[in-house]
Amino acid sequence: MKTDYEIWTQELTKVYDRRSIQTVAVDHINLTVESGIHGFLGPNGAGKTTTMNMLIGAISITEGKAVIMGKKAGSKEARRLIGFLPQDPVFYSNMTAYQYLIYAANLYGITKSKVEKKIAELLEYFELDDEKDKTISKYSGGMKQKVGLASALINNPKLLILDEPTTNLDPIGRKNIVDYVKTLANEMSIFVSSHILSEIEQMCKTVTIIDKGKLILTDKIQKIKNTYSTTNNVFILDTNANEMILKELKNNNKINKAWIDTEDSKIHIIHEDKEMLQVLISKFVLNHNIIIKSFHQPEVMLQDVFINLTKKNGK
Amino acid sequence: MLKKSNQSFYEKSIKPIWAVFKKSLYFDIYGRWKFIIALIAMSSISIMLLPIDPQTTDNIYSLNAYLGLGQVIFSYCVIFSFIMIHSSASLISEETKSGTMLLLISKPISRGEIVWGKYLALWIYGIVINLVSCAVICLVAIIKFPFNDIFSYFGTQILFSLVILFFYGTFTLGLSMILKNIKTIAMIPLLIIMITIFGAYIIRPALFYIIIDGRPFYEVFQIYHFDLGYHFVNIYAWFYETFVSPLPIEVIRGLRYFGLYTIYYDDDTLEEIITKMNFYSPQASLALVLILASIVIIIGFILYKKRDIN
Repeated sequence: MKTDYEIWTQELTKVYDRRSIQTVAVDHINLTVESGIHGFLGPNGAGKTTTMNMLIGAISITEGKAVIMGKKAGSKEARRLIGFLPQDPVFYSNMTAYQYLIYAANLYGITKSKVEKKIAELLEYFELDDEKDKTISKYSGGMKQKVGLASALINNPKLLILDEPTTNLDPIGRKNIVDYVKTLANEMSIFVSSHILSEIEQMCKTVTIIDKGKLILTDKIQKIKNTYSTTNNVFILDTNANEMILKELKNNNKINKAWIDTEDSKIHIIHEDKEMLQVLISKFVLNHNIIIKSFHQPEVMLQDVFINLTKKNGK
Repeated sequence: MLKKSNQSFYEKSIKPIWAVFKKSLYFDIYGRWKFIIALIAMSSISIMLLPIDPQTTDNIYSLNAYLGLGQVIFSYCVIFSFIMIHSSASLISEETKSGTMLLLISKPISRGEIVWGKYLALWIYGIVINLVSCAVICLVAIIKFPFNDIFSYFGTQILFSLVILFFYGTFTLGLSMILKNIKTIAMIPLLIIMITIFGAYIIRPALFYIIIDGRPFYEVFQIYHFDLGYHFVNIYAWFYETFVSPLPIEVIRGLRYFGLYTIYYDDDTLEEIITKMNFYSPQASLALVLILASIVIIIGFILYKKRDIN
């Protein structure tokens, strides 16, 4: 058993066989999740939920292995270490949040007397203490999501698995959940799936991208950005004489394309050779006594990488 | 910032099976009004008897005529069966269908523990309803038809009710693990009641009156193999004869509709000729009922254990 990782999978596969039609939902995924917050990205239907459900033991593994903190995924020992929030958590409509949290604690073997203090802390933390005696059916979507998170935290888990925790929430609700998750990262590892890339960028340091059941990329977000920015051939230059430089660049037949963008009034240059471009611009500004305000490559957004990769996978 | 509690949570103090048991009993099965209505329905025969003067002081006759068979057929085979079906049909299927099962199985509890917790809650609820309603019936019986053997009489009835509890509780819970639609789950055991109990007064006698080669259709085509109504009364008659006394004639007259006895009248003397139909020994009937329900719950559990919960 691999114990070095929070989550480790080897050739993890799920094939659904319905009426003799086989659908590969997860296709031989090798996943390694280290401590911290790890994002799990993929478009709708990519296999994120299926993978997470295999990790918690809700659905069977067709092929391969999955290990959570050295314990076989889906085993009672592994489930004792995790807290899980499904994509659309459904609660017992006739229970109050307080009763539900007691029940969740009991399922971990924790008695009411031992967990009361913890429940009070969680209800206060998620600002549910005033509503704790209302039945959950009367809660808004955001409040239900908070109850789900609170129940996932009831056992002080070492690993929190969150399946699209911000889906169906309004922008304020989404921001709150993102903030909660970031705070919780000090105390536990978090494996969070989403297709909202900006949230993943805010929360995570490392990310895995899957599409059509296959793993496409797994790495640190910054490293992914760096990798993709080196292959990016767009440069942005801002000086006190943009028009003059643009003229010079356009006259140079080695420059593919150059223009002043109407949005930022800076020169945008498309060029293959970064070093050659730097030499060219340096010489020109020195000769004409021009001041460079900025010269950089635009930051690659995770979204660009994601779209690029999933498009390639589509082909 | 969420404070990290210093409490040692992993020092186990409660078994998860008890958590499921308590939750199922208080939140899924028990409801104040459901409970009151169930008790009233179960005790309705005795409640109706309260204002009526017993017509005879022949206590064992009256007890059987007014309470005994009515309680067995109406209270146990119909009302109590309904209660068990209503209580168990949704226990697993509702959680699977609504999505609460996903949160439940993400906790460190096995699917076996989930089923046992719910099954235990069903039994406790059934036994409590039985004991309370039987106490009401027993009280009426003591007031109206006093006789010495009242406790063995009602003890037998409670014993029989446990067979009903086992059969309908187990059978329906098994279906609840196999199927998702609660209406379909409830419909199957309800049809069994409709055919074997209500149908008893029309279908079964008709099958006895159709004679093929000198023998009733019911016997020729061995309908009794599938006739749960026959098996239930066979078990009841066995309990009664073991713990109380030989079956009184008015009980036999009642049980002929269930194929346990046939009564013909002698053309000359007009005397009743009573014949016991020994299609099955009562022990075999009991085994058949228990095995049938057990098979359904075992198949249900195997399917539920393998099922992917999304």
